Amino acid sequence: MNTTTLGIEKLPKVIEMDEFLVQIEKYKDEFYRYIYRMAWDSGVADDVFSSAILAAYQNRHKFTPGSNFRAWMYRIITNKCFVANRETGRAPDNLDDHEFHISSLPSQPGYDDLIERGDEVLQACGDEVAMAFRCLSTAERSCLLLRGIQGHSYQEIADILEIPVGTVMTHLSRGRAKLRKRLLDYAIGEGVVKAVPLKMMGADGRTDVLEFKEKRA
Amino acid sequence: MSKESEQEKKDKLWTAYFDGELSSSESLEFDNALSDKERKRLIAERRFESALGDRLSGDIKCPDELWNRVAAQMRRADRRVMPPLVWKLVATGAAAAGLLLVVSLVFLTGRHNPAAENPGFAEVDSGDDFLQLVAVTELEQRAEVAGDAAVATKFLAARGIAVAVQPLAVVVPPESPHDAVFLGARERMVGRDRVVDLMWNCCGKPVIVSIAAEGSAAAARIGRAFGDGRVSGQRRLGGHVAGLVSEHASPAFLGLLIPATPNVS
Repeated sequence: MNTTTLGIEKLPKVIEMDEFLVQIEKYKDEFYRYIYRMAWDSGVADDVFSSAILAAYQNRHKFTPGSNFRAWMYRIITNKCFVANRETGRAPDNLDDHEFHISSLPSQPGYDDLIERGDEVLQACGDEVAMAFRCLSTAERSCLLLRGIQGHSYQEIADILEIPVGTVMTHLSRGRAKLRKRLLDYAIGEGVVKAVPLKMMGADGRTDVLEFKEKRA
Repeated sequence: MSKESEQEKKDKLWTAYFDGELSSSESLEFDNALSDKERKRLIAERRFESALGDRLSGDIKCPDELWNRVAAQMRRADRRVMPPLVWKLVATGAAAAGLLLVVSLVFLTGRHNPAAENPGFAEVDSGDDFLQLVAVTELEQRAEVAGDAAVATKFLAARGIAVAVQPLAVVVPPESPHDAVFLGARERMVGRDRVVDLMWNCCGKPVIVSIAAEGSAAAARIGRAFGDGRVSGQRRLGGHVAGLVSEHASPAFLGLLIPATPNVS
C-alpha cells in the first residue's frame, strides 16, 4: 500500500466493506473532531458523522482509485456540515459586518501581548476560544481546520471545498483575523491582555515603541 | 486597483507566507522585506496558531458507541445496496438453481447431504445457518486426517500453509466445562482456490475454521462473511486468512493457530 507524506493511504480499485471500515476507523477521531468543530450545533455532530460515513460508503464507487481517500472523505463530510449548518438556520456572528485584515492586526492595541503570551492567554480565555471559532463562517472554519489542524495544503483544501486556491487564502486570512480580533477583545475585556495605546506604535502597527521614538527623533 | 483589493492582496501574501505556501523565491523576497520585529512577531504568531489548534482539537474523539452504531449501519446498508431488479433476478436464479440441485441430488443419491446442498463455500457463505444442517459426525467423516494437532500441522505444511495447530489443552484447560474435541482436517477446492478446513466438536456443536490463501477469492469471501457477521471470527496468519464458523463466538479456536516456519514437514 502506498503512503504519501501525509500518511494517506491509497486504496485498491474496489473498496470492499472491510477495507472501507479499516480506513474509516483509522481516521474516525480526526473526522469526528472536524465535524464537532464545524457544526454550529455540536449536538448534531453524531448525526452528521454517521450520515457522512454512510453516504461515503454508499457512493464508494465514485471514489477514483489511486486518489486521496482522506481528501475524498473530507469533501463528503464538509458537504454534510454545510447542509447541517444551513438547516440550523443560524447566521454567523456580526463579526462579518466588520473588516479585519490579518496584515494590519498588529496595529490593534494589545495584539503583541496576545500573540506573545498565546498559550497563557488562550488558557485564560477558556471556552471563549471555541465560541469565537464557532462565530466564523462555515467556509472560514473549514479552511482553518483543514489547514491548521489537519495539515492540508491550499490545493488540497481547494479540491475538498471545490473552490479556487485564492478563495481558500481569503477564507484563511479573514478567519484568522476575525478569530484573533475576537479573542483579543475578550482578553482585553477580561484584563488578561494589556492594551498598549496606539499612539505608542507606528502608523502600520508594525514598529515598536523604541523604533518609533528613533524615527520621531 | 482599489485600496481594498491592495489590502486583500497583502493579506493573501501574508497568509501564504505564514503557511509556507509561497514558492522559495517569493518566500525569500517576502522574508527579506521583513523587519526583525516583524520576523519575531511571525514566530510568535505561528506559536499562537499552534496553541490555538491544540485547544480546538482538545481531546475530542469519536465515541465508541457512535462508531459501533455506524459500523453496524454500514453492514446493514451493504446488504441493501443491490438494486431491486438485480436482486430479484439473482434471487429467482438462485432459488431455481437451488431447487434443481436439491432435486438432482435427492434423485441421484437418495440421501440427505447438507454439504452437497450448500456447494462451494457454504460454511462461510451461510455461517450459522449451515451449522444447523450439518452434524458433528458428518464433519468427522469428512476429515482426511485424524484430529491430532501435530498431524494437522503437517497436513497444513504439506499444502504450503505455514500454520501450526496447537493442542486444545492450550486454550481449553482440563477443568473447563466446555467439552471440545478436535475432529481433524480436510482439503477441498472452492472455485479455483484451495481451502483447508479444521474441524472441532465443541459441546456437541460443530466448529469449523476454513483457511485460504490471502488475496484469493475464497479469502475475500471469508472477509465479506466476517464483515456481515456470518463468520464469527477472522484472523490473518502469514499469507493466509482463517475464518471461524461457529454457533457462538469462540475466538479460542482461532487462537489455536499460530504462524509456523514454512519448512515444517
